[in-house]
Amino acid sequence: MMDMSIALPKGRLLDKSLEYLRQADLDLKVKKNRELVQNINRNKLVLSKPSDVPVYVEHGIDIGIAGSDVLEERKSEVFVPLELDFGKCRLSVAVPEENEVDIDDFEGYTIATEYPNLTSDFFEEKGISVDTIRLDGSVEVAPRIGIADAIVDIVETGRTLKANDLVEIEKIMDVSALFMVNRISQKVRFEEINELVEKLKEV
Amino acid sequence: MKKDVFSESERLDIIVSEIREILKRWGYQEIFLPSVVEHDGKLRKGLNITCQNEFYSVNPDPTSQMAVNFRDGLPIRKFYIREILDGIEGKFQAGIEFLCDDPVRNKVEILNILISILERLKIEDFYVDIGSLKIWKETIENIKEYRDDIFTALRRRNLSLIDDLPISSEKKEELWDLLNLRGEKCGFDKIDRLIDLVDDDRFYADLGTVRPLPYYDDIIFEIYSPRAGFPIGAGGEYKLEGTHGCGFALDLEMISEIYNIEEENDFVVVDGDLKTSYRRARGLVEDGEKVRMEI
Repeated sequence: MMDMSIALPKGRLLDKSLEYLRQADLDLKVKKNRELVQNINRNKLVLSKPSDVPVYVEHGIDIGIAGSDVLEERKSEVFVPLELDFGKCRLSVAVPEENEVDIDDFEGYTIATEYPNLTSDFFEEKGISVDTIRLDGSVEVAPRIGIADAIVDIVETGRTLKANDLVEIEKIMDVSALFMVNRISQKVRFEEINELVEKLKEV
Repeated sequence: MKKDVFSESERLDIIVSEIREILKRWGYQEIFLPSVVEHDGKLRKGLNITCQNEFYSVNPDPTSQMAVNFRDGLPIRKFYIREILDGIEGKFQAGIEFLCDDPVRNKVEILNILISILERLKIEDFYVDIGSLKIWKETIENIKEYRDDIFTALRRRNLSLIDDLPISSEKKEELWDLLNLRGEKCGFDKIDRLIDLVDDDRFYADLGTVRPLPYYDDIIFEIYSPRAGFPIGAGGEYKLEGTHGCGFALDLEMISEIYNIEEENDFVVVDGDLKTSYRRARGLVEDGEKVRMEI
């Protein structure tokens, strides 16, 4: 596999993504110098914010790995041949423990989230009008300081919610890592990409 | 990044002029569709608004707008160049539609015009992948209760979604094989024959080309270039009150990204005092010259 451009998320999914690709013979030894674009064995690796990976792939990077949460939030037009067996978590609605209410009573609530599109879609579908505040990180703090009534965020073990006196009341979607392919790369590198997908499927 | 409207317009002006000229040579007429129309369930895209308790669509998809206004009188050869809205997002497109009684002829003509336009724009490294919605519909006929899931999987080439379907492993394999059926020929006569009739080695049969839009009913195609991260256009065939139609739309912003502008040197530069220079310029224009007034 040569001359491929690959976008991977910095953070919790990076090591597993590298290991996963390595098992399909795409060995990317990442330099420790924090370079965000690295040339490795004639491949170009782009390390980006997780939420930007689908955008990079949509705009011309050949392949990438990111969570289904960020893909659905960005609504990027990419191919998604495989759902992967890591990065499993869920996107959920949570409220302060002392104010636990049913989701149907959220009318007029302000919700802090990194996922304003998914949040709006979820409540619109239920016919509930809410305001969203977009935050980038530490969303769980918002109800404690009084700028939001609830949050929509990723829940893995529930420990972060508990530490911030929040309780999960409804799941919006299950999340897992996805293998993504640029729509044009799939066409112009058809054989190479299909071969890679076949190998990754066996991992 | 906010685009520079003036420099972007300079590029689009050149591109659109070339497209218009080619389409005129092919005998196509430009259609001028109103921007604001009464809302109709058959209209696609557009920005939906209310005004004085009435519902309207602003700049909807022109093919659907033409369908709403369709009257008899074949053949119809029309083209449009306009911004299409999808909510508040806008996209400049050039599109053509050809309606006639011969469903093979209209596809062959439309695809030949596509080649004319792209070659005129000196975009020669383009490819066209041709697929068929009917082949897919026939393939899933006996499992059509999963139609929506299957088309979601097809649109995203999602092997995992196909794997999760409660259907036999043979059927899953058949779906995956069909999705990966791509080449100069595919074994399906209607696609192979079309590629043969167009006779251009940049055209491929590709059953992985799946765009289940409401009005396309069989052959669909996607136009792309390795220099662009997105498709540069797409099209397909449809039926309008029993009449066969075929058309495509080019994404002018994507075309602009890969189009190389050549400096125009064929202007006659005119200078002198206002009265005589403009009189001379007028004469040159009448004689078919291009003029550029010296300031």
